[in-house]
Amino acid sequence: MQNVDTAQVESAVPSRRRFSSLNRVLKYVLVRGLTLLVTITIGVYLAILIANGGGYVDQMRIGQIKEEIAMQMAADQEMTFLTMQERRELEAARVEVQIQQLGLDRPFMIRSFEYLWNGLTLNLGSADYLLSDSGSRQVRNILGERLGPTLLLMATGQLLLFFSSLALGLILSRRYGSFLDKLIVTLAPTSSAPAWFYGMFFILIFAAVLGWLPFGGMIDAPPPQTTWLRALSIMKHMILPVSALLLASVFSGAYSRRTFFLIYSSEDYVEMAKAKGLSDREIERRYVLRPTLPTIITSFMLTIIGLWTGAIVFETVFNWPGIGRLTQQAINLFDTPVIVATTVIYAYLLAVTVFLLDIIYALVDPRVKIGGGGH
Amino acid sequence: MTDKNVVLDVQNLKLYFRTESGPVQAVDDVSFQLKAGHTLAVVGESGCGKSSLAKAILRLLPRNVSEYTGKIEFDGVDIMQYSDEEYRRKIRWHQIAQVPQASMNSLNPVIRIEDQLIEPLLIHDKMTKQQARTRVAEVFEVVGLPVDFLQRYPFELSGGMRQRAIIAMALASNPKLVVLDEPSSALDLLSQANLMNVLKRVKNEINTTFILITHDIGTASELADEVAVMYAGKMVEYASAQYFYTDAHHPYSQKLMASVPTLREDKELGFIPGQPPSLINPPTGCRFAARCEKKFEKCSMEPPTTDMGHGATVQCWLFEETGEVKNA
Repeated sequence: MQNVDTAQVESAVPSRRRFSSLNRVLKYVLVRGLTLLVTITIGVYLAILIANGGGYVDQMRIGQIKEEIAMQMAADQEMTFLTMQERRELEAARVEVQIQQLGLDRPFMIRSFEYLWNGLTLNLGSADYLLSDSGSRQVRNILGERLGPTLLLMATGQLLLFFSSLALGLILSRRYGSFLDKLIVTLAPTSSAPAWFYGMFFILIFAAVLGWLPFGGMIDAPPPQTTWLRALSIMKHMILPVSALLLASVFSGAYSRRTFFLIYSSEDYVEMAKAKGLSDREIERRYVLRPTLPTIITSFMLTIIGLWTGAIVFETVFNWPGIGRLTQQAINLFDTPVIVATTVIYAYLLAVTVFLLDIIYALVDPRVKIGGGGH
Repeated sequence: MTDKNVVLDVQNLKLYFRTESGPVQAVDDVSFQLKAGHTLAVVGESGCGKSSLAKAILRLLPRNVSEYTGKIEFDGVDIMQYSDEEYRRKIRWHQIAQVPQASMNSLNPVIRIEDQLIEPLLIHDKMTKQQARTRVAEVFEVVGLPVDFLQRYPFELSGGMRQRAIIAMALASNPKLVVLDEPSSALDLLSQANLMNVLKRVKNEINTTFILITHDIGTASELADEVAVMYAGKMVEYASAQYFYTDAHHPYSQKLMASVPTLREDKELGFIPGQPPSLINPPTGCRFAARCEKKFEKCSMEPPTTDMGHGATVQCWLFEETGEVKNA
């Protein structure tokens, strides 16, 4: 009997432990989720305040409405029959209606919280000025149209960049002090110039002088008929921007990865692995790459969400119809709903990534425990 | 020279490092022989080339090596002739294993201890995973660790336990030679004592040759059969422990011995004024001369290695007459 009892007690312990660890994870998810939500709220609200110029954009809009209505009425033949007094009243009444329609009569501070709520619930609303190519005012449609091209260009460029600098960094760390290593280290400062800077030279050389590749845009006009040819045309348009992106960052990327791997290669456990007689490949795989996996995953995830935002100047230089150029257009026009919408979506993506990273860390690094402190 | 018992025969070993201000002569012309089953304690101050000697024997060289020459005859074969790949396959771990100085960080933090311990067995001894696990569990018991700790990650063990886990790893593949590089220097006193007990037991149970590098001459006496004293990259004295602890020859060794506190005698502890010379431009002649009380004219010349009998050698002009000069 005694034995049976202890056996039962022992089997009960792990299940209780499992229950408590589930509890811990749930609690962690809840707390972490709430913290991130607060962060997003603050970030989005700041974006709303800035995009609206702290309410100053309202004044600009009201001025614009007044001007538009005055122009309309001046152009309207029927208005000439009214007296000056009547015309002024009619004009004021029309302006009032417009202002009320847009809700500009209520204080900005109150509306800013409505904007915040709409933004957080992904109720992106309609743009003030911008239209989608299909003619829609819905911010959702406008963004949707621009997202594809940005993802295509940035994903190609950034993923190529990420993996090539990772591989190059690994190769350089193996050949520390070699000619190739010195060359890349010497070239690393070239990354201080942004991709669009190299882009301009590329356009000058390969489009203007040599005429091999198009100046910009995403596809030939008019677009080719078959899907195959369309894909080919898009690829041709991507060559210059992608190579500009690569050239601008691959050297410094490889340089920083190389240094990173060199630091991790001088860890005591790497020397121990060498003393144990492991082959160089095994050492690299199990003793350099494996322990650095969390860091690599982090920078990969950040690269992935970075893809979404596009690059404002870069897309403008290459006339690429993506989110970056959209943002630039929206900023020029003070189209606050579009600016706020891009911010909201970026904030959400960032929060989800951070959240996922916490969990992935716990999976790849045994030293990290979700929620911490538990046993 | 052709003594069958000699497992390690080091002749004229040199290990220099390249630095901006010139080559560092970390190990300069060191020769010694070590018999199988014996334990050699290498003692000396910090920065006198003890760890570099270990690195040279283990061929764990940093990138800035400028000279690495001499002869290391291991088990009758000159392993200096081996290419890196040959050395890795034929020597590493299953012939010569190490217990490093920084054992706290010498286990990969993200791999379970068992998986790290069985690696050499899988690679060199071609064991199956099951055999390797059984073997590792055996040595874990030898070093006094609970077998279920094998399933843990390194961060879940204390420093002393990690150190013992590494000793277990070193013993698992029955190497002929284990180089212990200050195995206890990072531990607190109790863990140090514990570790020395483990090492003593291991030494009695398993017939392995050890090189124990330490600056703690006191604890070294518990294990050592032979003692080598290093000073500024040179091996200034080599003697069997029996004679060394009672009758050290070299003035530096005598000073070292005088600085060791003893339990039963009430003696005034000695100290050596000054610091060891820089190994970048070491003084010509005897390197200890500047700090030596017995200095005389000849000390400005390179001292000969003198045979003092009982296999002991000393590099000092004082013994030119008493001993038998091996090389001038």
